[in-house]
Amino acid sequence: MMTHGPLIEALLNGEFICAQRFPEYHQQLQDEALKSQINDYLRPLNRTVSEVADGSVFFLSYQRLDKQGREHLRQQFTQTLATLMPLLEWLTLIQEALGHDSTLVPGDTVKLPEWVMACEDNPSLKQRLAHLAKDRFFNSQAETVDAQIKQIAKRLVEHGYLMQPHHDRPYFIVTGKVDYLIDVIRFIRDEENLPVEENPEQEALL
Amino acid sequence: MVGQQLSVSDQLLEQGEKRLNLIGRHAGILMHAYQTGELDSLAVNEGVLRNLLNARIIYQPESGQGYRLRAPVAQLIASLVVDERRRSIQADVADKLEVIRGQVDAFRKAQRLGDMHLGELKLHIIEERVHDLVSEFDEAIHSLWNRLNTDFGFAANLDEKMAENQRAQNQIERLLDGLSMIDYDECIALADGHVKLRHLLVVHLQRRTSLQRASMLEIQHRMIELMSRFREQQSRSLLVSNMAQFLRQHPDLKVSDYTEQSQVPNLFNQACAIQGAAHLDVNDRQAQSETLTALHEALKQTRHLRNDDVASSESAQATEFTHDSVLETQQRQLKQDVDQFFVDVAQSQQPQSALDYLAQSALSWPGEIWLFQVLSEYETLAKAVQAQLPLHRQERAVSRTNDVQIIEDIIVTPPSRAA
Repeated sequence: MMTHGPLIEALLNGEFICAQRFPEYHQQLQDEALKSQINDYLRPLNRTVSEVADGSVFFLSYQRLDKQGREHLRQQFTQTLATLMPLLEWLTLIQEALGHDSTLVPGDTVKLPEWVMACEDNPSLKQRLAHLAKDRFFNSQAETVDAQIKQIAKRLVEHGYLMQPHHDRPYFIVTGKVDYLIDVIRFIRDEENLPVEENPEQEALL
Repeated sequence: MVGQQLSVSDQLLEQGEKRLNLIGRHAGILMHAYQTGELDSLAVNEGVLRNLLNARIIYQPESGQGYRLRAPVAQLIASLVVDERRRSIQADVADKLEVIRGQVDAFRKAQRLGDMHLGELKLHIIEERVHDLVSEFDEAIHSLWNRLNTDFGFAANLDEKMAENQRAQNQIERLLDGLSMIDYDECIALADGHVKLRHLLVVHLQRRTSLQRASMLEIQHRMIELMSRFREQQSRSLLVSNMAQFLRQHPDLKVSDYTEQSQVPNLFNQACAIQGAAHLDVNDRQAQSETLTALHEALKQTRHLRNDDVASSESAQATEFTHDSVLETQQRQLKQDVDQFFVDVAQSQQPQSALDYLAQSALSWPGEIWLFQVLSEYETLAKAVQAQLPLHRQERAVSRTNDVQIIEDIIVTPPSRAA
């Protein structure tokens, strides 16, 4: 167990363990035996390892919920809901800006200069970007496209959706937390019975 | 008869060379035709056009229409430039097997008649056909791998990628069907009693095709995986855009609070972080005196060990092998100096850098050896003492790409005396 100290520390720190940010830990957590060993170790701390998005992401959950824990979760949930819209807008915006035919997936690279150039060349994208940057989640007061995008990227790194492999280079890697976001969207859609389709055939019928 | 055959092949040779040259001479306009689908007839004069037509390089589908490249020429270019959009895969194994069967029959007949030359010729043809068959599968496999490895990068969008993937999967099915048409029992029967035939039809053909079959099954597996990834990407994109649209239209959508459910879904159960680092109470005076006592004890212990000439640290052990009394004395002195460093730090008020101390005390140890000894001595201290004397390493990475940390200095912080 000693050799897994760093992994447990990362989990306890509240990190999302995905293959992009923590490849080694993510690999280790594939091992069911080790996972149950870690869970045994975490039991007195009232924590357990959770796995979402088909094993794309691991993090720690409360094992039993007391009043305090529930309050923490409630606040977190409110925050998640508030970030949903800006994150969705970000995903659609960047897909259009970079001319991708699908939304970002973990491991994709986002190059800021490319993104900046696309938004500067297109008035509609520029306007949407300005609107998005002003959202409370990104909270940018900047006027230029460059500064707005930098602030958005910074916030996304802070929230673990992007990572920057080299601090002095303006490119970012999409992390597994995007898979988590997709899972959250699917969950809400299913629970609330929202008429949001993801199947091309059915969409065509509608 | 053989002479006749030779002269025919001479003629073929000459004509082939001429026509290949023709392709070379007009490479520019032919490539243009490959790209646009039609030959720019204004760019060439009529003589050239006629030559190209006669050489069966281009054709005119209907009079009055433009000229196009013949399919084999287009295929040749596609295969030369690995153009996956155009590269087609031939899976008509049946016909090739039929030819091989026929040629083996002819070969046997020639052997029976004692016609060595004809036999040689037939054997040569059989060899060519077998290689042809094998290399066609190789080419197909190469093309399929290439498409896989580039994630169908040549396709413009996801829909097209999925269509291409489906097409490739159908091709694999046909290729596998083709491979299964090769009947090894029949090959053995055909090759019966002839070493060269046996080598060609049994050893070579069988070994290659069984490798190819394995390769194709692997490709098929990957294709299906890739397809499901494409599907996931597609539905994910639709989900994101549709959900964004829905939320835009319903800005005040009320979502029920899932954290109130008795069983909170995993997705929304993220425990708050527990800070791993421990913090000690530096203002605890009781503990301070304990630290000093413990440190004193620890140093006394090591001194006692030194007097007994028992190595207490790895660095000391290392020198033992030299059995050099000078080195031993030096090592002892170094340990003593480091001990003194810890005692001084413990009694001082400020955090102390090991290198600064080295300079201030005018000690002659090289910096690196000094730091190493400080670290190893620190390890021999009791845990309780270590907790009271936090040691901080000033580290830097070797370079931006290499994350090996180099210790530049060590800072030891004394227990605070402030009341």
